[in-house]
Amino acid sequence: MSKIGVFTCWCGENIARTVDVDEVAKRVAGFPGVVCSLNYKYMCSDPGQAMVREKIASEKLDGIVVASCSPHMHLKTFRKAAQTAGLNPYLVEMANIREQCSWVHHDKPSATAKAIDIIRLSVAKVRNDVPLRPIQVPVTRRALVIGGGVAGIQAALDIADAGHEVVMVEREPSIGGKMAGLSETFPTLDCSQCILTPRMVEVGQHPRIKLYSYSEVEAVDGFVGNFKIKIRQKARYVDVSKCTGCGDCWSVCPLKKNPSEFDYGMGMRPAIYIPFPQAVPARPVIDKKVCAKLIRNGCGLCEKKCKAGAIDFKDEDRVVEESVGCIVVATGYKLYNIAKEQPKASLAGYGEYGYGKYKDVIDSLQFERLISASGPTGGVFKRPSDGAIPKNVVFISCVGSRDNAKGMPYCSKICCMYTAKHTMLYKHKVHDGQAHVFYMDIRAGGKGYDEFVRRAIEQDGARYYRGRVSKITQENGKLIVRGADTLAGTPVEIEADLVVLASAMRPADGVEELAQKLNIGYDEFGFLMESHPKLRPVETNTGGVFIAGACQAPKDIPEAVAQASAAASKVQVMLAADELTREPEIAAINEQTCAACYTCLHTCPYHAIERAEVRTGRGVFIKNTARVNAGLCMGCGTCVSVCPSKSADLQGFSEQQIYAMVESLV
Amino acid sequence: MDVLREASLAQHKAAKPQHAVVAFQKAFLDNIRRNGRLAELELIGLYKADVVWNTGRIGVLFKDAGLAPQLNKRKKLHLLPEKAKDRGVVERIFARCSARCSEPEKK
Amino acid sequence: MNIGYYPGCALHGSSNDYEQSLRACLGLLDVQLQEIKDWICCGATAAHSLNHKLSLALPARNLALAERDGHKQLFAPCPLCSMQLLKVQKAIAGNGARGELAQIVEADLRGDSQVLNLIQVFQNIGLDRLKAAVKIPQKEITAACYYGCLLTRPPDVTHFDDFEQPTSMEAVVAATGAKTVDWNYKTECCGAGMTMANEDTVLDLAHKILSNAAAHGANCIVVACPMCHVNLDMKQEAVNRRYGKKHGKKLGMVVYYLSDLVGLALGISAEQLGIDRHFVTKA
Repeated sequence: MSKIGVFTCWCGENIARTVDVDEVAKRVAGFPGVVCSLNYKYMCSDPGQAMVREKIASEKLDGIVVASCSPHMHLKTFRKAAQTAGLNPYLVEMANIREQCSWVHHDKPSATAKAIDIIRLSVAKVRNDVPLRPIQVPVTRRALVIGGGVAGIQAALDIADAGHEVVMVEREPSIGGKMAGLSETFPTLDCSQCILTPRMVEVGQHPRIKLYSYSEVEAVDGFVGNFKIKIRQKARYVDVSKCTGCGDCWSVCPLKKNPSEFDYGMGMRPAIYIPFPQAVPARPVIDKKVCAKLIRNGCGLCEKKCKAGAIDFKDEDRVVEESVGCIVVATGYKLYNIAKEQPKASLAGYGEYGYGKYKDVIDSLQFERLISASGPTGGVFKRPSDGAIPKNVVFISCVGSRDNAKGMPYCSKICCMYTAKHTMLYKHKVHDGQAHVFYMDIRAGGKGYDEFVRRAIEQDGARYYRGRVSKITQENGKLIVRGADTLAGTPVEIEADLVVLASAMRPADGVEELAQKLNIGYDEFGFLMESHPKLRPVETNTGGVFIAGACQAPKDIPEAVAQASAAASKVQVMLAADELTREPEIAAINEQTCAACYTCLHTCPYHAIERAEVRTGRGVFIKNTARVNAGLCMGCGTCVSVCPSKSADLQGFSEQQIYAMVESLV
Repeated sequence: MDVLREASLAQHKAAKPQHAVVAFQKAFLDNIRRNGRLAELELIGLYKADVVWNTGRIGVLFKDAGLAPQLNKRKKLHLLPEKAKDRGVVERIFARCSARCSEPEKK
Repeated sequence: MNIGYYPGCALHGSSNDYEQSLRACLGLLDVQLQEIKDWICCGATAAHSLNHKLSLALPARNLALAERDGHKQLFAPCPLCSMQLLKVQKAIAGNGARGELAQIVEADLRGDSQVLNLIQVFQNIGLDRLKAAVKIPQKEITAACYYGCLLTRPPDVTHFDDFEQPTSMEAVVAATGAKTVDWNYKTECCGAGMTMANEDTVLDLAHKILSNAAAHGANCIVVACPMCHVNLDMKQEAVNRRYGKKHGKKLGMVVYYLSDLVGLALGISAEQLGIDRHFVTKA
C-alpha cells in the first residue's frame, strides 16, 4: 500500500494566481494512495524543503509528488531533500503545473481542473516507482585533445597540469594551428609566434602530454569514461627518434618549388620540409605526392646527406590505440575560398572578384604570411604577381560572411578587427602606402577593440568606405576595384596594387566525418553543436566529448583560449574520481524474454545497445540477448517503442507506469 | 529600385534632373497603350514635346535630327508604325493595371 | 525545328537589321521562326519602372498568346523582352498571381513555354552541328563577347550561364572559328533605353565598353541585344566625338549581332545578313 505525499506549490503568484491551490490540495488528498496533501508558498525554499523532509519522516511516506515548476528547475532540489530524509530520490515525481498549466492559461476554474489532472498523473506514476541507484561507470583518467592549435594547446596544458595524461592528435606535421602563421595579433600587436611558441614547446616537452603529430583520429569506440581511440600516424618517412632536426635534408632537396601549405601558397617549400622553423616537433616530413624517390625511385639525396640515418623511405602509416575517458575537439577553422568550384552545394564562389584568377587578390591568411617578418618574402611586403611593393591596398570585409547568396549568413566575428590590424601592419611596413577598407559595419566588441580600430583610422591613416565592392577587374597590372561609399552617396573606384579579402571563417576540412565518428552534432555550416548556446557552450550532447575554439563558431584567440580552459575544467570534473556517476533513468532489457532480434540495437541513436550472451554460472551458453550499456544509454526510449517482445523498458518511466497514468485519467 | 520609383512618382517627389527619363518612359507607355506596339517616331515626337514644354530646352527638338536621314538610308526609319490588331485588349489591360494601383496618398 | 518567335518592338522598328540577320542565319540552320500572332509590346523598361502590375501583365499577354499558338518554346531575341517574359514565369510559378494575370490579359495562362534567348537557340541547335556547318571560318575576327545586363542577371530569374563570368556566347563564337578575348566589361550596362533621355550616361558607358574591348585586343564586339547594338553601333560616332580627343585616336569597332557572325561563317553574305545596314561597317 502506498503512502504518498503531495506538495503543491504556489510559486508566489506564478501558480497561485491562475490555479486555486487550496482546492487542488483538497481534491488531491482524496486520490488513492495519498495520505498527505499540503500547499505552500515556495516549495523550493528552505522552509518548503524542510516541510517535505518533515512529512517524509513523520508520515513515513514512500513516495512524494511536488506539484510546482518544471523538473528542469528543481527536480534535483527535491530529490536531495528526499534523500536527506531517508527516501530513495527516485521515488520523487514533479507535476509541472506552472510551465504546463498556470503560465499558459487564464481561466482559473479550467486551469485548476487541469492542475488536478496533472497531479493525478504524477500520483499514478509515483505509485509505480521503484527505488533506483545511480550508476557508477569506471573512468579512464586520461583525455584526448583533437587539434593542436591554440585552443587544443591550452586545453592540453590545463588538463596535463592538473595531473592527468593527455593524448594530443594533430594532422599537420607541427602543432600551432592558424595562430602560428599569423604575423601580429590584435589588440596588442604581439608577435603571434612569440607568444605561442613557448606554449608549443611546453606541450612538446610536457611529461604528461603524448603528442601524435602528422596523425589523424581514425575511429572512436566506447562511451564516456571509456573511449577507445584508433589513431593513424601518417608516414613521415623520417625516423623522429633518430632525426636531430639539423636541416641538411631540406637544404639539399632538389624539388624546391612546391607551394607551401603553411604560407597558403604565397611561398615554396622543398619535398622534404619542416613547415616553419619553430615547428613542434621540429622534425621534417616528406611529401609523398612529389618526392622523386617515393614516386619513381629517383633522387634519394636527403638519405645520402643525413648524418643521423633518419630518412626511411620504407616508412608506412601506423595505427595505434589509446584509451581515454574524455575528448576535447579543437579542430579550428579554415577560410572560405572564392573559387567557382565549392565543396558544398550550398556555397557559391565570388565571380564578382574573379573566382580566384587574379594573383593579387588574396585572402587574409595569405596577407599575414606576406607581412610576417618570418614570411616567404622575408619581411618585405611584396605582392604575389610581380613582387612589387603595393602602394594602394584595398581590404574588403565580409567576403562570404553575412551573405545569403554565398551560403554563409553568419558573421565571422574576427574580420573587422584583423582588417584594422592589417591596415596598421601595412602602414608600418610601407610608409607611403594607402590602405582602403570597404566595410558594412565595424564589429569591435572586445576589450580595447574599438580603440584599436580608431587607432588604425586616426593614427595610421586607413581610409574606411562604408559600402560593398561590386567588381574587381584587372587592367595593365592594376586591380580596378569598384565599390560604393554609402555615407557620401558616391561610387568609389580605386586602382589597387593588391586586394585582401576578409573571407568567411568555415570549419576545418573533414570535421563532419570526425563529428560522425564521435557521435556529436554539427549545424548546416559544419560548426560543431554545443549542448546549450548560453549555459553549456563547451559541452556536446554526447557525454564525455567537449568542444573548444573556432570549430564551434568563429571566434578570436582570447575567446578560443577561454573556451579551451573551460573545456579543460569540464574534463577535470569528469576525471576527478575513478568513477562517474550517471542518472539511472535509462533503459533495461529483460534478458529472459529478449528474442535477440536486435531491432533495438539498430535503432538506438546512441549506439548504446550491445549483443551479449546469457550463460550459466559455469559458462554454458543459454541464449543470445541484447544488453543496454549503462554508460551510453540516454534514456530516450526508442528501444522500448520498437521492441516486439516488450523486453525493453525504461527505468523510472516504465510502460506499466504509463498505462497507470493513462488509466488514472480515463 | 522599382518600388522607390513608383513611390516617388506617386508622391510627386521625383528629382528634377530625372525629368527627361520619366518623360520618356511615360511617353513610351502612352504610346503602347494606344498602338499596342511601339511607334518610334511618335514616341520621339511626344517625348521631345514634353521636354521642351516642361523645361524650355528648345535644343532638344534638333538633337539627333541628323540621325533621321541616316536611319532612313539604312531602311530603319518607319514612317507608318506597325500597330497591334487588337488594341482594345491593350487598353483594357492598361485600365485594369491603373485601377489596381494604389492611389497616391493625399497629404 | 519550329519555335515560337516574339520579335518585340525594336526588331520591327529601328533594329530590323537584327531580324533580317536572324531570319537569314536561323533559316539556313533549319530553324523556322513562327511569329506570335498579334503580339503586343512587353513594356520593357518603362513598364517595370512605372507600374509593377503592368510590367507583369503585358508580357503575360504574350506568353498566353504563345501558348494559344501551341508553342513549347518561345524565342525572344531582345533581352529586355526575354527578361520580362521570364519574370512573369517566375511570378506565376511562385504564388497565385496566375489567376489574376489571366484575368487581366483576358487569356488562359499556363506558364509552361520555355523562353529562349539567341544564345540558347544556338545551344539547342548544337554547337557541334554548328561547327560542322561552318563554310568560312571567321579567322580574322577577334571578338569581345558583350552580354549586357539582362542575359545573365538576376540569376534566380534567368538561370542562364555564370552571371559574373559568362562564357556561353564565347562558345558559340568559337564554333564559327573566330577568336574571343577575355575582357572586363562583359556584363556591364550599356545604358539600355536611356539613349535619348540620358545620352551622357549612355555615351560614358559605351565609351568604357568600346575602349576596354579594344584594350584587350578585340577587333569587334558581338552582342545579342538590339539596345546594346544601338548604344555601341549607332552611338559610336557620338562616343568618338566626345572622347576621341582623349585617346588620340577614334575607336572603330564593328558591332556584330551573334547571328551575323554565325551567318557569315555559314557562308551567307553580309548584305543578306543586313550587316551593311549597321552604322559602323568597317573597323
